[in-house]
Amino acid sequence: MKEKDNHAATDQTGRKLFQGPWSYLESFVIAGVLILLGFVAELISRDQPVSLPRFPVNLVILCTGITLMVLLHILYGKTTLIKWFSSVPCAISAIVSFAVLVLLLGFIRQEGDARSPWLHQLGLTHMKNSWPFLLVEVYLFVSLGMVILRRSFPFTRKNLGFLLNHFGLWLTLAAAALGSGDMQRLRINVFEKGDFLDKGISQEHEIYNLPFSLKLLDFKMETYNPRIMLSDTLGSLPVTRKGEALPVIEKGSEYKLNHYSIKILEILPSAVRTGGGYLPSDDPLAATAALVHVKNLVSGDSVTNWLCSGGMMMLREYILLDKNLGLWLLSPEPRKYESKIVFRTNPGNIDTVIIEVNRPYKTRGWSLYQFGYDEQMGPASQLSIIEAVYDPWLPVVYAGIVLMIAGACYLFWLGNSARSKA
Amino acid sequence: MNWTNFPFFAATAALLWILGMILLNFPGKRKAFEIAGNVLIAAGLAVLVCFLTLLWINLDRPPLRTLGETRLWYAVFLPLVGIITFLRWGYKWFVTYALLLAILFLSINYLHPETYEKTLMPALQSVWFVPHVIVYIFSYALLAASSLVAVKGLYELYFKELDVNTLHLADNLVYIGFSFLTLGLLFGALWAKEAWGHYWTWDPKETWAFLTWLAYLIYMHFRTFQPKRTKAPLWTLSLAFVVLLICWFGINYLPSAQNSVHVYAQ
Ligand code: HEM
Repeated sequence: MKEKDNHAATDQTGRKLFQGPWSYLESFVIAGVLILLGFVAELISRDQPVSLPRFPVNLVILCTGITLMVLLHILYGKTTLIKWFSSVPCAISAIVSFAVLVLLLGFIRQEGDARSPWLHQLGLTHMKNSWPFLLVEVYLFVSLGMVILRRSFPFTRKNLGFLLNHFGLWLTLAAAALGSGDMQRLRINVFEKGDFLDKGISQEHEIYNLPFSLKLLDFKMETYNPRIMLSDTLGSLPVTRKGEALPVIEKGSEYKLNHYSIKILEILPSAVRTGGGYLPSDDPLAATAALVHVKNLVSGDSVTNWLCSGGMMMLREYILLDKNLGLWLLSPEPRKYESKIVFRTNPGNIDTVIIEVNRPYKTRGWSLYQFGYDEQMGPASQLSIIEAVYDPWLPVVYAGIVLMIAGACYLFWLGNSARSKA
Repeated sequence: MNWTNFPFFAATAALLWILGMILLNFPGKRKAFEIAGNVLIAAGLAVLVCFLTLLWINLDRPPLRTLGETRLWYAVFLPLVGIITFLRWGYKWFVTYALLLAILFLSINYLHPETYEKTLMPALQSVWFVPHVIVYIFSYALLAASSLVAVKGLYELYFKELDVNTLHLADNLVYIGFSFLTLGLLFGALWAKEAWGHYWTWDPKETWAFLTWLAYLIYMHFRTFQPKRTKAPLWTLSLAFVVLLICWFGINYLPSAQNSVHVYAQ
């Protein structure tokens, strides 16, 4: 980011490039070369996202990496190169390079942006699986790893905060990056009254077998009260003031929209149309209806009528207020939805569980999430989409996160008073 | 208790703060004035906390969802940060800054009133919601303050002489703000795991939050390495704030963010 102007200063000593001790210039040259190499590798590999290593290869890579770093630290800890690896300039060049790639990730739409083939060829549309990203990650791991080694021996109390932060981060990043090859996220579409399913679909639309099978007993949804809005006669151009949310209605309350006052006389969350009005019903195809009294505050006219949010089998019904203006009732938004699932692991081991958003069910290394439902049907949905996630490295990631939380607390307590050596 | 009562509470708080500021900055060193000033500022804070609590009860959900609601939290946290900083390091101008900014947030809310917004989508109904957002807001308040200090430092650097204490204050604010930023990021990851099945998906909002974090990380390491240098870190800190602002506001306008799961407030 703002490092360019440091080079001049660090090199005012008259030292030549790559003559020890290396500083910012060397660090950024090396980081730049790594990124360039990464792009070259992308061009050569032609659109093939790097496939991340799986177990046991990733574990082998991790152990080899750690062993190598420890050996380098013990045997060559005093050389220019190894000292440089654990220096702040190297760290900053690694963090800046990483930031630049993440910045690109933040600006360029990922996954197959065919409009710009060269973005694709440089791997910028599959950044997370691209060579530049991978090389910079390795660079970051090595730099961070070497400084951790240098500061860990001999261990002193003063180093505790440093180690919590740095080792925590290192562990989190290493486990997250190496573990992502082992992770599986599969969608399972289960239907009410359907049979046991034991297959899931990956994000790449491939079908995988699951080590268990499941069946949906019941999908249930609670909703909030519906909202009302003023809009054109198609219900597609809401009239709202900027930043203002459409009101969620409540029985008996009154709302002011533009120059209309709207009193809510009745709300039927589940109703069917009969003759002149609506009646409560538990028909799965019912929709939400509300009886409202609308008064035009300018002309004094008023009208009482039904609104209906509409559904699979029912028409949306609005009140025409003006030539081009209608009062509409929107479909209620979900407050809570959950699936009652029968869960079968091999021979005859059966469990009935409830899975809800934010409350996944965990078993045998798998977590099952309430992912979605048939949004057209809303509360009457017969379909529940469950996501099954397998992530064996998660405990390691969490261990790293816990260390970092401790490190953050340490940083908070001591502020930068710990930095006396400066 | 809802937003229709807001002008009353906001005006009371602002009035108390203005009186407090005047007392605090009264020429001459008078301990009694200082104490009275602090008491008034704290009273203003208490008024807002009351409003916040009542609003929370009325809404039946934590008021942390819309931009207007977050502004309210800023208006609470900024004076808090201001008072704590004052008690710890004795910067009067900093309290004044924090209060003026808080009053600004209150005024924005007054000019853009919010209507009754009671819903909270299922993904947001989590024990992580409140700690995650509050920690973030607190951190942003501190980091915003640190960047203001950086701008002050740059002014000193170019037009006067840089006071060492300016950089030290910036460092302190960054260290504390950064520790909260880290907590916010990590709480967010833990929550995402519970709600969406994975702790990190490089969603645009997550990406920008991470970039913000990296920007401050660069500043901190830059400072440890060459504590004598001033210009570059001051600029870095000012730039870091730009990244933070993009993360906070700009994200809703970025093309890559159109399908972010984290963009709620319209
Ligand atoms: C959680 C994130 C991080 C935090 C909170 C953090 C914090 C700190 C702090 C406070 C110091 C100076 C205080 C001390 O020396 O004890 C420091 C030093 C350092 N950090 Fe970090 N850091 C983080 C991430 C990183 C990363 C990602 C790298 C490298 C890729 C890195 C490399 C270094 C280096 C090389 C030093 C200098 C150590 C020395 O010279 O003894 N840090 N860090």
